[in-house]
Amino acid sequence: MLYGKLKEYRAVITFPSLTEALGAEKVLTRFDCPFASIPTPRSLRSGCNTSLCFPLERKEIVDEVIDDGVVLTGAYEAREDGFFSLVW
Amino acid sequence: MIYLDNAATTWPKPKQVVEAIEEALVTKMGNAGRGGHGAAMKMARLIYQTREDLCVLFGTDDPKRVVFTQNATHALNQALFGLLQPGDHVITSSIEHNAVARPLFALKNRGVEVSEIPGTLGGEFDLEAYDKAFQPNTKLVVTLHASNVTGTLLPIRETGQIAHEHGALYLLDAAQTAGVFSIDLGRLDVDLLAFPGHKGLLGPQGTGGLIFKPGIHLEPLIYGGTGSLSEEDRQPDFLPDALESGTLNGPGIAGLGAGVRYILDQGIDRIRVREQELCRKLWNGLREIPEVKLYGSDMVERRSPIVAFNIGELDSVETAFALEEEAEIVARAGLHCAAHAHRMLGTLSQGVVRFSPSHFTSEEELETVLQVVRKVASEYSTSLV
Repeated sequence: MLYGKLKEYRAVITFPSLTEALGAEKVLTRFDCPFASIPTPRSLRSGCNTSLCFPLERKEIVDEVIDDGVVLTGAYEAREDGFFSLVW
Repeated sequence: MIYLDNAATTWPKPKQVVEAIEEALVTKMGNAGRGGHGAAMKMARLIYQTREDLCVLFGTDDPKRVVFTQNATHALNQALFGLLQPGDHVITSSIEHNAVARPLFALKNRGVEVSEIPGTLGGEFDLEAYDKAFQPNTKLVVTLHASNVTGTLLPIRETGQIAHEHGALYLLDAAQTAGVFSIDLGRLDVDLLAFPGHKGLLGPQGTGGLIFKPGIHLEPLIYGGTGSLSEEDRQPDFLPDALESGTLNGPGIAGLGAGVRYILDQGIDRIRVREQELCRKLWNGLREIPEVKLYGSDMVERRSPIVAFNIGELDSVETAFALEEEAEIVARAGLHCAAHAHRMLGTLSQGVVRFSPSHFTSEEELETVLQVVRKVASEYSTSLV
């Protein structure tokens, strides 16, 4: 079941640690991409209990996050029937 | 009170530091990394911002490699015990603070070989002897940047270069210089940097940190909750979590961040030049008092902002007590947790009185200080007759 801003945004990235998530927040802010921190969905558990969701139409932003040195454990599209690897 | 003990901890702090701590206490209620709720995230973001500010100040770019500790001693212990194993060899100077000397003594008892490079006044770190001290098992060189007794600067650029030529790492103790002298990790051969938050960086006590370059693995000094990988018994291996078990000093780190931003805003060179001008005034004034003996180089520009002296053979603690009694002048006397440095200076018995002004110290305060030292010195002279 989708919750919070995930229902609206539909793209989510997960991290090994909170420090990585905080680094990603900085990148998303710098590129003026709206985002929300949400509890990591149980099926995506990755070490860090906080994930970031953002609008699916901004999915290319993942490149910027990675280029900045942030370590991700996954990038997903959230659909009603589950999470699917994000293709960008 | 005239506060001249900034080498122990800086005071006063910029108002921005006080405000940042208050704001953290009042509005950033949570525990960073413990829960993903808004309160925890507020504190987490604030701590992350301080990591970034420190990266800017020290010329590095990976906030994850900024590990917060309680103080520089804690950071040095993390580096030394995290790196050195029995059979390893480490090289150090002869003017180290106990923050390095004592962990090395303990490590020696665990089978780590330690070489101390002998020093003399004016030649505190003999680069030639240092170069010859390397062994095939030399893993690390550790020195302070400036002596906490005399302020004398060690040649850290050359020390790092030589360490790297021999394939060893260089750990720098910047207790007296962080926030006062430029330390650019992008240009220096320094692999690990230990710093206090409450001295030159103008943050509150209970803060400090260790920054180290990629490729270096440190075993944790303490193990425990990190807010990450909670389902596993093993300690996370990613930074900074691997080395930051337990709740961080969030409000303190907020204050530290504000101190760093204040320095970046004011300009580190401006702050240092101001402090060196004050030291020059102290040095020149003290030099004119016949009973006063000064220690270290007369080039105050080549020292961290410290002026060390004694009045004749008067015990340094008595001198400091007299200064406080006379005019509430606060200075540190004794051995300054640095017996090795005093052994070299020949002041193990008498200690020295240490004046360490900050850029907040006024010229008028120093006029008063010099006047009172003259009075105490004169009384000492009279007592000898």
